[in-house]
Amino acid sequence: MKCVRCLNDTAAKFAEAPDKSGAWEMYICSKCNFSWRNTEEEDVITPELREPKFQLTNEDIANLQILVPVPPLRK
Amino acid sequence: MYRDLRDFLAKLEQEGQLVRIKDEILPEPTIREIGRAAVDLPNGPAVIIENIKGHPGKKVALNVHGSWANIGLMIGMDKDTSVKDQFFKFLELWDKYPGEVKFIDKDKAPCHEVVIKDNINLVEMLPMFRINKWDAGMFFSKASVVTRDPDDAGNFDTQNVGTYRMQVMGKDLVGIQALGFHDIARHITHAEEQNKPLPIAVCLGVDPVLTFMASTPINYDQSEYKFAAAINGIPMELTKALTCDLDVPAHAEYVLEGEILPRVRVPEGPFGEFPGSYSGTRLQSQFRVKCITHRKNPIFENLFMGRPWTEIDYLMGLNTCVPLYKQMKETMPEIVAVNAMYQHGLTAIVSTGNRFGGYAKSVAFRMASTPHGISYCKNIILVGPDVDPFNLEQVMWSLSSRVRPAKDVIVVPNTPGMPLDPTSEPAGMGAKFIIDATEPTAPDVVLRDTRLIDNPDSKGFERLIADLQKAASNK
Repeated sequence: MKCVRCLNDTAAKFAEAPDKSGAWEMYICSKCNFSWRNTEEEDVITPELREPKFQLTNEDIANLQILVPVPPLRK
Repeated sequence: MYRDLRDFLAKLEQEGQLVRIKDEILPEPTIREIGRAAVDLPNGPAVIIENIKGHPGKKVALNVHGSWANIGLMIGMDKDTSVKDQFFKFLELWDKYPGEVKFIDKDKAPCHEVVIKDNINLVEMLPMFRINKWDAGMFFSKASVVTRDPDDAGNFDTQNVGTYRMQVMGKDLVGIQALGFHDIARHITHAEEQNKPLPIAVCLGVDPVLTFMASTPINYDQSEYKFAAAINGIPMELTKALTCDLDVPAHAEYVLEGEILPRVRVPEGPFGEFPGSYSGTRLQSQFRVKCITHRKNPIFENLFMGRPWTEIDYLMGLNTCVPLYKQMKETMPEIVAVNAMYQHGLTAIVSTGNRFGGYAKSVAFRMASTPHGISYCKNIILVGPDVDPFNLEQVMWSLSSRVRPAKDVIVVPNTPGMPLDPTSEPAGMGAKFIIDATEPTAPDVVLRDTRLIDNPDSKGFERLIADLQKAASNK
């Protein structure tokens, strides 16, 4: 399934309304960690309608800043 | 004063500071609309949302700390107490540190009434919601997060309770923002140097003072639990977590126990942050939840954070002022009061005497060298001891009548900055902007001889007129 933010085919359903009413389902992308519910506003969950500023390309993902670097292992 | 969230909610309800929304709603966008509305009202009440589609029986509590009325009630004052009076009350309570801690048997702790270890799915078990429209997912924004220093595991006081944003990244996976200056980052680094997972307990819906202390910048070796007990005036009741050696509040609504994965960084964010803008997406730490415990009929407390002011500004207002005041006052007794309520101290106002010419500028440097001030305190305004720093009209008067721009305005470039401040570029770098609006003292050149107007003794008539006005409005 396509992620609505990074557009990779790396998203999948991971939750549904716990009362089994089918009120909503939730999906998550294993590449960029974006998650969404199928009942949210159209411009949040439709790639073409989302604000471009909040989309991520594979290049963006490859160049993300690390705020706290992984320290060297102790010897 | 309040043993747990429920005690405080009962008090708020009794004082007309809590309302319930019973209509069925979808989590998005409705919960954020309710959060914004509650905090925008004068003396905004806490709100309990009782009917969330797909989550029968689950409740969300918002805006619990979202007005000065609620903060005043939290520390046992009337709901119409002024902010300045609340500040001085906090100073008094602060000196009662350390308060007492009591342990309750694991089997008897209310937070362990329900235990879930299998088939964990966070967003099915908790009524989570997207806080702001462009957030990367569902975030915990008001948790008290407990960790220990693996190099100092037996030390109760360096066990940390802090508030960090956390993004759900799977059924049992959560990203956590631990910035370099956060105490938890020290714990993570020590665990990662040994390639060991770090136990973590995420406590949701705790007593209001513990939530307040978890977002207070106290010293590394001071205990948030003992501080909460001191301010609350009753012992802090803790219990042991079920899967690790962490101490958790016995009356928490929920506790998520897990482990921070060593040497892992994953894409996290954006998230609508306290300066009123979205953070970027960055690589942050991640943990796996191994066990969820909760009370019967749990209440999920979370925080709506929008363009200021919202609940976080009330929550982090006085708890930023008080430790800065205490740390500065130790070496600079002339300091009268500190108002660092603006975006966690990005802008701060200090009322201080001028021991000698230029002294107030040294007060600014002291503020910029406190543990919190190093990164956060960017715009520092100094006013004289006769000015109430919580009264912005007085502060502006002081700027108008006492600042000599060529002498009293200083910019110190290229200092540490707060990465979430949108002006911090690159993220983490900043500058200090100091305005000295105190009255110059010798050997500085004093201002032209001016005679201030004395205030008449009006207190008696203030009360009389207020009573007459109240009577007039009741007619």
